[in-house]
Amino acid sequence: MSELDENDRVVDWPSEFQTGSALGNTDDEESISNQLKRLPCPASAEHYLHIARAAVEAANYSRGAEDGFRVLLESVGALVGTGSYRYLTAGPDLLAALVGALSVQMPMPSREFFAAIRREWGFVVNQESAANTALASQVDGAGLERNARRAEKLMSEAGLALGLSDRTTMVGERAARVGS
Amino acid sequence: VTGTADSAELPVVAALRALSVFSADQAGAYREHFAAFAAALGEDVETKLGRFLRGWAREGAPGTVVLTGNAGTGKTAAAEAYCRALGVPLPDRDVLLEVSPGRRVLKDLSGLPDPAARADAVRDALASLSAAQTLVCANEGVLRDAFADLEAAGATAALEAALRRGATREGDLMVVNVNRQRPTSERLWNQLLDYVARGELWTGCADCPFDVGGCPMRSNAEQLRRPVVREQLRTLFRLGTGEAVPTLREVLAILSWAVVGTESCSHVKERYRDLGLAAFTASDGYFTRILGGGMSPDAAERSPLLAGVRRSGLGDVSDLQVDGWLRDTNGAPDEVRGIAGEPDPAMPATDGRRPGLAGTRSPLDRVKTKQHEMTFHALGEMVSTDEDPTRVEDGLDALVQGDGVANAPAQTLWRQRVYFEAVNDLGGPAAAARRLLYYRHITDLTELAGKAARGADTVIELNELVRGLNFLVTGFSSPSEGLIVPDPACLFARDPGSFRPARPSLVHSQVDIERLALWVPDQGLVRDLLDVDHVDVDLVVDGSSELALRIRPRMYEAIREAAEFRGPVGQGVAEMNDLRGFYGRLAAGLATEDSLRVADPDSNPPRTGQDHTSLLRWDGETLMAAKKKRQRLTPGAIAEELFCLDPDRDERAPQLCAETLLTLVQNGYRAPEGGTLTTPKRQRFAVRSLALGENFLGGRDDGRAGDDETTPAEYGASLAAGREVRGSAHLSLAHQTLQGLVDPDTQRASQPGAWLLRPFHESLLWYDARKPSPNSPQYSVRKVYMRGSGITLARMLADPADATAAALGRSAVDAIRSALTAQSPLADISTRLESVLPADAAYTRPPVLEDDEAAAWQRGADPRLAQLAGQLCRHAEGVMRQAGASPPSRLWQLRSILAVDLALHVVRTAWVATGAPATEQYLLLSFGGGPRAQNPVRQRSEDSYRRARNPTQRSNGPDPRASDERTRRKRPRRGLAFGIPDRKRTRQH
Repeated sequence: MSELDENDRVVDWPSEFQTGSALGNTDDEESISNQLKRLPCPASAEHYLHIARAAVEAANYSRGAEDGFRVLLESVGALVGTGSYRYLTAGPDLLAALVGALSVQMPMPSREFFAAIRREWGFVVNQESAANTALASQVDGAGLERNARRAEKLMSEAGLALGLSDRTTMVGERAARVGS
Repeated sequence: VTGTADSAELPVVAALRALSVFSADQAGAYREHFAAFAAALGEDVETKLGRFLRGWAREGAPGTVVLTGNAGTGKTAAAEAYCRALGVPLPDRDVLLEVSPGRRVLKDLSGLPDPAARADAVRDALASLSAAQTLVCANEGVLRDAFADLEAAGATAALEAALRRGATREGDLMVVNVNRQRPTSERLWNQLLDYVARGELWTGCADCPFDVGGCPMRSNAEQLRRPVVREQLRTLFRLGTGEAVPTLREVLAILSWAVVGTESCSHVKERYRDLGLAAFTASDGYFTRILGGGMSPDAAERSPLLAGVRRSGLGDVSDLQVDGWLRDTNGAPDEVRGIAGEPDPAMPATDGRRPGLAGTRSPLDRVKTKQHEMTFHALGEMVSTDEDPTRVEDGLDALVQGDGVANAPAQTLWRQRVYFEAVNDLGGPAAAARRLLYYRHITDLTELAGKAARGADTVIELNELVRGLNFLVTGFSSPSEGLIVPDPACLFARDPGSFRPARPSLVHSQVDIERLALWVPDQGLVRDLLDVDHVDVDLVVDGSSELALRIRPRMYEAIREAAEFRGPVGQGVAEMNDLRGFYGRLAAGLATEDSLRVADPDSNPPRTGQDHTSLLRWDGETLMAAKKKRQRLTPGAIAEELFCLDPDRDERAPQLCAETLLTLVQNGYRAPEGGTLTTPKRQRFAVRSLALGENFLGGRDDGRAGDDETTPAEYGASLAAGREVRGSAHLSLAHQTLQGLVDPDTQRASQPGAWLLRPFHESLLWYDARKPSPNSPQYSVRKVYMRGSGITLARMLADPADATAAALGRSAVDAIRSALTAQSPLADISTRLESVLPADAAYTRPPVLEDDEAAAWQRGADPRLAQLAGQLCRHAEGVMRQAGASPPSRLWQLRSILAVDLALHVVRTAWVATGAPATEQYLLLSFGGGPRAQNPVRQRSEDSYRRARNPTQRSNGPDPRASDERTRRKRPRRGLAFGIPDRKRTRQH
């Protein structure tokens, strides 16, 4: 808004909003477009912030991006469940893709793999990855370790990892490049 | 571990209790504590490796032997054997030490402080190959690093060879991969069981109640001395070792648990004194403890070997006769009646009943019920013949439920005991496995491996394997055509072993049975150095180890089941990935068939298809896009400004990937020179009609297609119905084959115009199409679910600004081109079907580039997307250049990575824009676990997803659901798209 007002000298504010949106309703004195029209020139950042907040309160600005984020994760099996019970996970296909994407570093122990996917995609699986997050005070460490073991088991069953008798799991031996 | 046989505590009991370790922090502890165990258990087991090293030490031949393997596999024990042969103790320190003149030992390379010290030690060991005798123990990782630091190519090659083949010798350097040692090799297996159960260890403590049937530990040890029980146990461990790298320490831990559990002699005697014969039951028996009975699920989960053994399903698999024996032992063979605890028929009964424990011989034949402890026999009689309904009910509970805590269901215990102790009555070891394990063919596999190792004739078994494999990968079950290698795309879509009905598959090539052979993995030097056990076989094509399929127990089971039943086998993803990898390598390494062949599950044998051509052409109109005034404060415009690349909610992974690939394909897999982009819109209406069963050429009545009489609309209708067109043959098979390749995720959309095939080949990629109105028959390509993000991603891959990203991107795009242009009969079908359409028609001519497509391409060079571009190039290069995955698998993974990277770009941008604290910037992945209410990780995962969608929401307290509901009621939603932090509301959280 600030850029449009100060750089482009916009006068026709309703035409900048979605057609038919209440934000651009010229009949409503308190509509956002009318508030923008009434702004002093030059207006302070506080003024724009106030109007921007009012715009967000009145219209749903986040839905498109939220839904884009949701459907992308859903369509790769990273998001399951419905409604407010949706949670994040990774099936064999997605785990294979994560392992493949890191193939240049493979093979690696599962601990390092979990650290790598935390670094690359922000995914937390085990206690170590949760160390510097709010989870550290919210979830029992043993619960996260069980979660990690189940992930290891899933990867082993999917042929992405090999459980060794010394309690370690090596990830990505198949994906590893020859000679790496 | 101290004590004597006539003391209150039997020394072996304490020793085995100490050996029975399943915690994570005890790796390698066995060797350190071994001296204490030796006092109770006697000399260590003698491995073939130990014997070899002793002989080498005595012989004194110079050279260096490197032992590599996981902790617990016996490297240190072997080094100890070497030192013993020289008459010196194993060194305490982890340095390369001269233990006797010209004999040096480094017992653990990892014990050296840093990489430089390790490299020095290895350099030293390699420098004096012919001057001294050197023994080095090292795990694989540090050894590889040390060789890399030294740039010792020869040594690295030797290590690689040893890891593949088990052992290798390069001049005076020998590398041995101790992971290949199998505890189930015949000699070692008996030694291990003797180590924990031999008679001299189990003579009894003072006042031992064993003779009156009161000591479960001695009863267990007694059974483990019987050859038949040992052999059955060996079968279970062979299954387990097929799943994990087995170590001697772990085997001993499980065997120790099976014999003593957590018991002590004094505890056994106390309980026997207080409870008599009721003190111990079959729940303390070796046959259930060997499967983790009595152990917490967490502890059992920690042992990969135990997990493998448990997957055998022993106790869960029912057999009518075995279960019948429990309910009525009268008709059972003598041995079965004995293990059921049947009393002497002459024993008198009181009130028509005998005591429940009449006839018991040991705790192994007793079970716990609400009607007091009783024998298996008494339980069966109570359930089958008792007239008291309460007693029958209690008996049934004990039979099928147990007590839900410490006592397993009697039925499970019974099946387990019968498997071990009534082998002959079951029909022998093979029949016992077939009847009571999930792995019905495990003994067949070990026999086959034995035959292959001996070089015996395996033609019959080979035919059976080929029959099963052909069914798994094509649904066509016959070995007479040889090994059928399907087109990799068809195989990838087939999902071998699944419950989906098989569709016809294109045949890439066929391999005659004569070109196939069965090998065992452990051959040559490794057999001389290590105790090996042949549990797996390799199916090898043309004698090339590169073209081999490793057949482990689970894979063998799938193949045999497929051959026998010709139905879904429901085996794990790992086996199916192995199959895909194997056939992918075959497809890459073998010449393709000259003729087009289809393996049709409904026909016998596979049929050969023909193709068709056309000379017709016609004209058509151009597609144009209307321009609109740009509104700059709409949610879309704001999101575009914020994220630069903002995925539409219709853009799912398949569409995103298809649009990216189409952009690359249409532009020759590189950024267009001169900057003129070619639109990714591609019609492919003919092949699309055939694949999707919808006439995409409807309403196209002008011109001719294929001959002088057929209009394009009629041609499309024939293709959609799978009917023959001029010059074609077996088109319905191609129709069915292509239908099997449809990406199921795109079929969520009801419009066939939005359906896509999985990404396999460039000739099978097309853009969204739709009709202008439901009543119109004419399709045209236009944006439906593809919204331009794929064009931007394509630019990032093909032409990123950063030099490092550009190199990776180029490599990724080259690999994408190789995968999408690999020779495929599907490509021929597609090309020929399209070629008969008029060349310059609206529905065949490339559409004109639209402004928003050009803008999407330009956006790919936006500096705000530089980080995403770098990440995308790195990940795409990783996926496309990985080993061990077929080209269709890589493209499928690329589909996931593009979507995940884009989704993460959105959420990371939102985190930055909303000032989300670093501690809140994560996505918690939850795997399995219990129901939601008892699964805090899942609840937190829900919470992390909600906050990712709405970063201004802070992490909640212990009850995320309640807090979230409160949040929703109090304020309107505000999330990713608009990134101004709301201080007032932030404070509320």
